[in-house]
Amino acid sequence: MDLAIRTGALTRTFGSFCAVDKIDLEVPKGTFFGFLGPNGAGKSTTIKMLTGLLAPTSGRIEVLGQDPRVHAQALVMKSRIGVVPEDLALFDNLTAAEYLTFIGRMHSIRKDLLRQRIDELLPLLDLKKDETKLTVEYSSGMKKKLALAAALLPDPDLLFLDEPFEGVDAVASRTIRKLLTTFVERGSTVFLTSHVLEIVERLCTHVGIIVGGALVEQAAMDELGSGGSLEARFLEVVGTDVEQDPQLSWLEEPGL
Amino acid sequence: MNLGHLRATLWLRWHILRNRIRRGGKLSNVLFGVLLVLILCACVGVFFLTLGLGIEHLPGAEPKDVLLAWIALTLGFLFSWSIGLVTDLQRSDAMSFKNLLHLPVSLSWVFLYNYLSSFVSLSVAIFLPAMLGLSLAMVVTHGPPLLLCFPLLLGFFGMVTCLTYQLRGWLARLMEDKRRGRNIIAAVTFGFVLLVQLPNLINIGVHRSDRDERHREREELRELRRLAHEDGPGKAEAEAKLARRAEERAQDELALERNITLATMLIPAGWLPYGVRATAERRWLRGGLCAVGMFAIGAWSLRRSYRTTMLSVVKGGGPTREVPVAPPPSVGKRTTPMVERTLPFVSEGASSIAYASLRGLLRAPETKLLLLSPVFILAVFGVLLARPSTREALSSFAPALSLGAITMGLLSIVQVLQNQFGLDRAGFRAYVLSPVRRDRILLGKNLATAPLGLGIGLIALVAVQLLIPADAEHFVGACLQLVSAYILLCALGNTMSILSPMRLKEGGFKAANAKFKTILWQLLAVFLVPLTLSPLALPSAAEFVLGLQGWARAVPVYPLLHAAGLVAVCLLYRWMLLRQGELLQNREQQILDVLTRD
Repeated sequence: MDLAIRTGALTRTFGSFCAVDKIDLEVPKGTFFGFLGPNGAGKSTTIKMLTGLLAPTSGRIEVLGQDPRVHAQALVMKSRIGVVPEDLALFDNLTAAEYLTFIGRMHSIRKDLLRQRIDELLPLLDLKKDETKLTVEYSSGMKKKLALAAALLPDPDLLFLDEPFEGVDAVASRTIRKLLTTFVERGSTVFLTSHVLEIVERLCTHVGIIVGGALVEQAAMDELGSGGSLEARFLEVVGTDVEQDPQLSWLEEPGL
Repeated sequence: MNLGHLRATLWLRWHILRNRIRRGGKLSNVLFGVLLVLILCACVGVFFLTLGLGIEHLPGAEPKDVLLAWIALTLGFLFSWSIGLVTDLQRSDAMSFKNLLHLPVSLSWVFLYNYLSSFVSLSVAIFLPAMLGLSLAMVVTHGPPLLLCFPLLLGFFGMVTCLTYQLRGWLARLMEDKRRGRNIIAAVTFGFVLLVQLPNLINIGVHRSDRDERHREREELRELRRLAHEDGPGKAEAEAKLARRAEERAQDELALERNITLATMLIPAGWLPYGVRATAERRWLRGGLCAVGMFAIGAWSLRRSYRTTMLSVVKGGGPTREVPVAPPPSVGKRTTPMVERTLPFVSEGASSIAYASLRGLLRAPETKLLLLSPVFILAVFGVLLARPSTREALSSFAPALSLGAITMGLLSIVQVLQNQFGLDRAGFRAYVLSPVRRDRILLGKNLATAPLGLGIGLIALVAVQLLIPADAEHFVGACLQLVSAYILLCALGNTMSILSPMRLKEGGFKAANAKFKTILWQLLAVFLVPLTLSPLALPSAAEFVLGLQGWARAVPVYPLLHAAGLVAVCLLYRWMLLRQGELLQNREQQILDVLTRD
């Protein structure tokens, strides 16, 4: 199997706290991989290590056949990936068009091709009317869309998306979903984290579930246990008692 | 806000402080503790100092001396307060309204709490005890009626802090419209610094000619006194002249006193010294009016500030206005945007970083504020150099002057050079994710600041050339020296940016949550600047030595040596850049962590 991402005993600790604990991840090429987990499970830490934003404490990483810890290989890998990081990577004092131009030039895209792609991306993500605004003036949803545009711009082989739908409106969300599906259909790979299980279930071909820093599930969507329902499987591996109704003592008493 | 709210607020403040101390590291905490003890000692010290001095000297003092003492304290406080104001121009509330808006807390109490928190400053900590000590001394020496000093003091502090709070609130509201607001902040700071520095500039420029005049007068006076003491033929005439001079001087002093008194009476900032003097002269009504006046201004200002804040908080935003729509790009004639331009002989990545960073720098209000300092340096040194006596004295030191001008000019942007990624903040992540070689990122960054550094340096050189003209050879040499100096500082700045990056607060160059060690390194690097540039003085020394041998006349030694120096500096820079690129690659994750950590 041709793998886009492979890790071996990948670990990251912060002092005595182990955020990611010896995970062995395998993401086949051409798949839409959903990386799930409760808050603080280690999703963003993993994505940061895979993209070179954070150094692992120990373990092996291979992204598109390159090791991000080796300088020369890291640059090759970065020329072939697109990333929407958790806290984005925008410059306050540039406009959307300027930022995209900058990113395109960093990836050595030809000028005419770059202009053409920017002219397509901005209206598609509904950013055209705000293209003269500085990114510092953008709402969080607009920033997210701009970051996604920047990730798509160099036509990468692999996309890392950390919560790409957070704060994005329904129309843009639909557009992004369609774009990503097309992206995967042509043989590229998407590695996505999201809290919205419905989106993951609808889009992803493969899932991985991380809980407390440990990878507890990794399978193709149709090979999932619990009758194929992602939510049921997720709740099962996270350890939540589905049958038990949440209760608060004061809500049991009659109100006004 | 009830007692429970107040207790919860104080609890919150304490826990925030405690957590910050815990995260600060041992060294920072020890230094913080030492600083706190020093401030406390200074507070108690200045209180007893002014109390002791007051009890010692006030009984025999004339009303005008009392006035002068209070004017000195008032001006000292206002100067110190204004420095704090420029450092932290935009109001940052102790308690954020946004975090409390949904809670059952009275916003007026939160406002009052925030206003009272604005009192916590070094200026107040030093000058309030000093003024309290002097007021107590006034009561001890002049009797209980002088207790009126305390309401005057309270009124003065109330007026100054309320007006400042109002100004800061207004600026904070403007900041909500980020693009316009930040430019306004830069303009206001510029105006404010100019206002504060104006007396200094006048003193240097205008007063210097007066000083020469006064020096001549003193010489004449000494001569007259000598003649008056000797039994010579000019004794009577000298005595008469001395008497006339004494009379003129007394009249001058009287006029000066009248003017000062008038100024303190008319300007609200002078109502404290004026009121204290009036009270010391048993003119209670005037003293009382001054106190009432200051309280009234303070109350009015606080009310305005409250209304503005509430308008902003409750209505959820700043002044409503149409967002200007940028005109559509003209069809046919398309100018290349700055970020699309390329630099000759430079890689695409470095070129892209250079233009994008320059674009960002030119828009950032932080840079606009930074560019103020060379303006003032030029103004101060320009006024100094403009004096014929200075020009005459320095004319033979033209090469040293040019290096001095270059150093001063480049020092003004050293904050940018030494913390190249500080202004990028989260944008640094784009560099980490980029496939561009790291030495090219550094080169791009250095090229981005080149127009600022070389521009400021060139203006400084031209100014020196206009005031103290050097021959063409030396001017050309100085221009080459400027380029070498900039490249050397870039090499130093790159190392500092990689080893000791600092996260900057938005809108300024103030470090956010920086470790003491980082600040220390950054300060140390500023002191290293003259040392780094010192090799550039070698051509001057070589020219001097060759001149002694008589060889310097035949060939233009000075520009040739600087040209050779520039080549050497370029080679050194290239060698260093490759190593710094590797260092950046190794440390980019740590830098990212520093720049993006809250």
